[in-house]
Amino acid sequence: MLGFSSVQDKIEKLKQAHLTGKADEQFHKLVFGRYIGDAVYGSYDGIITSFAVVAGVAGANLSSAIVLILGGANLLATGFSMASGNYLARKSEMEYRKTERVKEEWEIKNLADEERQEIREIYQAKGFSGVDLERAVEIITSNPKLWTEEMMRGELKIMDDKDAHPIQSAATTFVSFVLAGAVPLLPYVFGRVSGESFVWATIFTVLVLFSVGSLRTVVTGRRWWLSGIEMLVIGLLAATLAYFVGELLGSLA
Amino acid sequence: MNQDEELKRRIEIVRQAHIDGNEAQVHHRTWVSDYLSGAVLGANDGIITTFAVVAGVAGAALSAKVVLIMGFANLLADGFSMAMGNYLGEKSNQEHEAAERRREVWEVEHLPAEERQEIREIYEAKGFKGELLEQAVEVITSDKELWVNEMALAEHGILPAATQAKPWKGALATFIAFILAGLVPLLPYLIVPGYDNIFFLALVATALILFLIGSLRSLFSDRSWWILGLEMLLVGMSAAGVAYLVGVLLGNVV
Repeated sequence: MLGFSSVQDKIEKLKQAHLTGKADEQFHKLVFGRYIGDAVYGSYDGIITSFAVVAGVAGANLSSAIVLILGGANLLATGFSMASGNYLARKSEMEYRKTERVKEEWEIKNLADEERQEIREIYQAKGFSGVDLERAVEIITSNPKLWTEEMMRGELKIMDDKDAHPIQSAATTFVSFVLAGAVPLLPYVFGRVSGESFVWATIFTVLVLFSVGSLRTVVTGRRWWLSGIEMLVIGLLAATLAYFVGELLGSLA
Repeated sequence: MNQDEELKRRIEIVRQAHIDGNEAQVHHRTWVSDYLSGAVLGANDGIITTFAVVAGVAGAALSAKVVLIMGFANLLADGFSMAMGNYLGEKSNQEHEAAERRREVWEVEHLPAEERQEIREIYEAKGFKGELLEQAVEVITSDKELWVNEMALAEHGILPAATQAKPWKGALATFIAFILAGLVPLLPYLIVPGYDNIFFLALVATALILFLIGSLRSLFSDRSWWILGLEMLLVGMSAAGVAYLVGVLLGNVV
């Protein structure tokens, strides 16, 4: 990440970055940001899952070792399930885009006039007119690959899938799930009985929800406390629901 | 009907959609992308969550009624949590893109010469040259919003915010798919509660629904239905297997 001492300094450094072709990595943080959704999704559910386990055994006064084993095993199993779900979802999305591309190619082949007119409309909307417009349409439609791409983005608002990496997305979900989900379990590492540690586990859950929520602002640029509170409120809602379901089930089983 | 007529018919239908101006919805089903990944995600996790509950109580010889109540309660709580996770994840994605867009706005305002050069390179790559290229650069850079849109799209693959799916749509799809698909492994406990080997039936129901939903994805994919069905079956069953083993392990510990 670049550090800037002033606006002038920022402008100078970015001019340099543009010259060396590094504007992307340095200024836009895209590489990390690409997986922000998967990371947030995984860490959020990891926290709630662990809290649900901890809440479920809170009344039972089990030893800390057992809570750790229960929580740890649950993290691995549920984390794997979540990651596999994310893998399938990303893959479906990717395949959907691919089929739409095939359809667009079909349209260009079979309905060339209509598709040419759509390119004309897209470039007209950009502000092209007269001879320039006709020449622009000519250039785009003389290259079928470019033509398809312009239609995908301009008409369907679908991005091509060069950015989709289902395996990386799934791995990001799994790792964030396990790491963030380990936090509510931490109090049990310090050898207290589970009833006592539950208070601490709740405090840790609140803290990690807020921290992960506000950490998002590194790539989202929103106010850190607002993002933290958003994740905290939604997380506590889900955790409360999990807690009462646990209570209900405890009285049944 | 022979193939030629079939093709002609399809061309006519799509041509009519172009005239009606609803081609994006009719031929491309652009609405699908709002819900597809959320639904697949929810269905997979709903099935595995319920299967884990069923597997967890399989050894405990609890009554079918208790299994149903446990399964339902778990579906609601986990489904809600998953949907919220999906909501936060997608929202963070979009906020990240909005931040990238704001940086692009800043660049256009403070480094117009460099950004103008980047537009020139984008249009040069499309095949524009000479006077037409300069005209194109002029047209794009005279409209700041368009300029930023073109940069965000070409450089970062970011579409204009107004065209993006609302995060709550994906979350809703996750919740509904989670509950509907997650109910299936519970069905044997509802239909034949007294059956001796009911866990085996639940296992079969789990495998069937995984395969079914997997193959339904072929509606939005060019791969064949049975490969897609097998893919989801394998991925889902391995996750269910891990959940089952963990359950057995924990049963020994506690």
